[in-house]
Amino acid sequence: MLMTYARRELSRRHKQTIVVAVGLAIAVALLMVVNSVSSGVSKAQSQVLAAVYGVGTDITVTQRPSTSASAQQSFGFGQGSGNSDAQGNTSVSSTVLRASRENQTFADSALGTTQHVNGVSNAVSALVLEQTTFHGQIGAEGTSGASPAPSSPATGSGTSDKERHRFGGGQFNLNSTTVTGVTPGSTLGPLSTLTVTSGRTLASGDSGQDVALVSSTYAKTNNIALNQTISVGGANVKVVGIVDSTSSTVSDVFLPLDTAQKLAGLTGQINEIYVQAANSGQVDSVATAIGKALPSATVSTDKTLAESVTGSLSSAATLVGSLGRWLSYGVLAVAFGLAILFTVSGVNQRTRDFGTLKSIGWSNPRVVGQVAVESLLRAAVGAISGVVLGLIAILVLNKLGITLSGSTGGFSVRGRSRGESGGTVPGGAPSGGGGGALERASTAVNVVLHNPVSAETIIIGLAAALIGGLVAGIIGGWRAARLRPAAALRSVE
Amino acid sequence: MYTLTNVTKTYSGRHPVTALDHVNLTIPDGQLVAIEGPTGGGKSTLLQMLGALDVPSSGDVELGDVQLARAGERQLTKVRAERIGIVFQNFNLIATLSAQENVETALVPLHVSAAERRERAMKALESVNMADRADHLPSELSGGQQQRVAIARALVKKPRVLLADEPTGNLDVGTRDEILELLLERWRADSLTVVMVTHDPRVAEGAQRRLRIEHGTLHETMAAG
Ligand SMILES: Nc1ncnc2c1ncn2[C@@H]1O[C@H](COP(=O)(O)OP(=O)(O)O)[C@@H](O)[C@H]1O
Ligand SMILES: [Mg+2]
Repeated sequence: MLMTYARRELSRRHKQTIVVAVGLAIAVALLMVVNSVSSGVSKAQSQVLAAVYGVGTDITVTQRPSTSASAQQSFGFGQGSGNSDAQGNTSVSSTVLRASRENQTFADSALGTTQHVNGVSNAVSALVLEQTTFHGQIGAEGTSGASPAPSSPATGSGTSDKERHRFGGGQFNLNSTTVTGVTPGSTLGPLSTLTVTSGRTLASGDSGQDVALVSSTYAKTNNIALNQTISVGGANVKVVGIVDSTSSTVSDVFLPLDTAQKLAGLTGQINEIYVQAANSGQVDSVATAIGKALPSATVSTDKTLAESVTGSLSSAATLVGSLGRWLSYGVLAVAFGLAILFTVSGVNQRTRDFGTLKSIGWSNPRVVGQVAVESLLRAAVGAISGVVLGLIAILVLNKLGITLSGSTGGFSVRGRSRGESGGTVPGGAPSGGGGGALERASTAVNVVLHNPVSAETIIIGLAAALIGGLVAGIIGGWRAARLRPAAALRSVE
Repeated sequence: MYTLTNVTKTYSGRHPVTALDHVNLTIPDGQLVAIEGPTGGGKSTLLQMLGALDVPSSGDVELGDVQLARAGERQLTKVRAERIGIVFQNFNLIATLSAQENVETALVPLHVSAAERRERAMKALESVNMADRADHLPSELSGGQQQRVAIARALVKKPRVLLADEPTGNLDVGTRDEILELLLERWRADSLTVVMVTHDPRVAEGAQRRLRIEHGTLHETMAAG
């Protein structure tokens, strides 16, 4: 009887049913879309992070350069002795391999310290180096009038007059190459982001050997073939593999860590540690513990790394996280309000009916149950239509194949965009602080947004609608319970 | 048997009203009583006391062995469900339920199986000559037909008491006589106690006993003969 009565009420008072169901359906669908898109966006974020930092990295450890170290902009071409030609111009060719200035180097004992922190399942270190090669001719002092490119304005805003004067009229190439020392055979960190296109990767047997991997873009630009020998830090190393990265930009050259340390004269020094936590739920506490063990280190979790992602991906994350969430809460509140309003006004309209039923012996719990069941049924209609609507909306969003682009900053392994790799600067000095500008260029990774439909998404939607129905049912039922049976005798309503 | 002793009902509010003022009344089982009186006199209030729909402010209402004035909500509900059938001036059928389903609602509190509920509802509809309209909605029935369905709903539980508040008040004269005839017939057939509130002297004339209630005070105008 209860169900028959409820079904009749719902179908014969269909306007009320439709308004409540539509309200709840829209709220449910919106809630589902927001939930799905936010997990899609966070998946995209971790894809970007995985592309940049390698799969499985939960925490990174670096050390910010001290202010005095970063202020030091000197190129320090010491050993490059030039040959003067007949005109008094000097040919200079010089190569410098040294630690990336983005982060400071620190003793590799920090790796052992990190590995011993509770909750760390794996940690590998890396040494990111920068090789700057300078080829060029410098005119004799005071002969700047002979400049082959007199129209070129002196752009060296960061360089002193004296330097400009000395460089003026010369012509030179400045090439910058990123060299990363990695732990051979490691499954975490930079090496894990690489896929071998030809040759092989670095295995544990390569430690201390003069072998290298080069990125396919670098190989193409510089015409480097497999098994060829290239010069890094003045030494010859053999290219044993050409690699691609899941990241759009990678280091140009990868060396075994100890080889890199030896060539850069930085034995026992590293500047990055990649950490994987044993339990992904404990990332924050593990990071805190590492920070305590290494007080001078900068410890970043994937969460803080995710915050460093910029670009349309982060706009999407913000949009979903703030606007989407609040919008769906707002619509949910309106839908709840509608459900409560219609249920209560329905009870008021049915004062005589409920009074009559009470006067023929229906108990209060039975009348309340009737109101609650009707409200829940109405909510269920809304919930089911909402889930269908939500699934369609998510499907459409996925079919659109929205591409989001994410960039990260603040971590040197990301290297630089390809196009900026070195270059010829004719007739002038490199612009002020040149090297730093190159390094600050960030990694951009494009990810197609895919919004997953999880059981959680559907359950959240269903639960929201049913809670709305239940709340409305309880409030309406409470109204109905307060009706006196004598209300049935009132002839005027 | 009903025994009312010094029943007073006061409605509190901005203008407190004493709807029943020290009413004393005994109604033996099987009696057919008509209650007359002006609008606002207290007729419906008295019927609410008899129907266990409300309790007096003071005084006692006894139905058989049950003290209605002192009963809790659960016991009142049980009395309403098992012992009392009630018919209203406006028929009070549930608009969304068919005639048969409306009759079935009276059996819901009695925990009767669905099949038995249907069967008993059909029998009750037959007894008021409405079996052929079992599937009709109230809106598809005339006033007289609706009141027949309402009488079937009141009687399907086989109560000992039938209360009716102006059962013919909304009907035309021809239909009025039909419904009156039906009530008298059911009274005779089921040996019910019937208490009927009416404005209409023609209706009251059919009763064994006539009471008049004015300003909450009860007068016996025609004792049972
Ligand atoms: N629920 C109520 N609240 C306040 N006053 C009421 C209520 N029910 C009835 N009354 C008042 O009690 C008096 C008797 O009403 P009622 O029993 O309905 O009279 P009748 O049925 O004879 O027309 C009237 O003055 C009426 O206004
Ligand atoms: Mg009345």
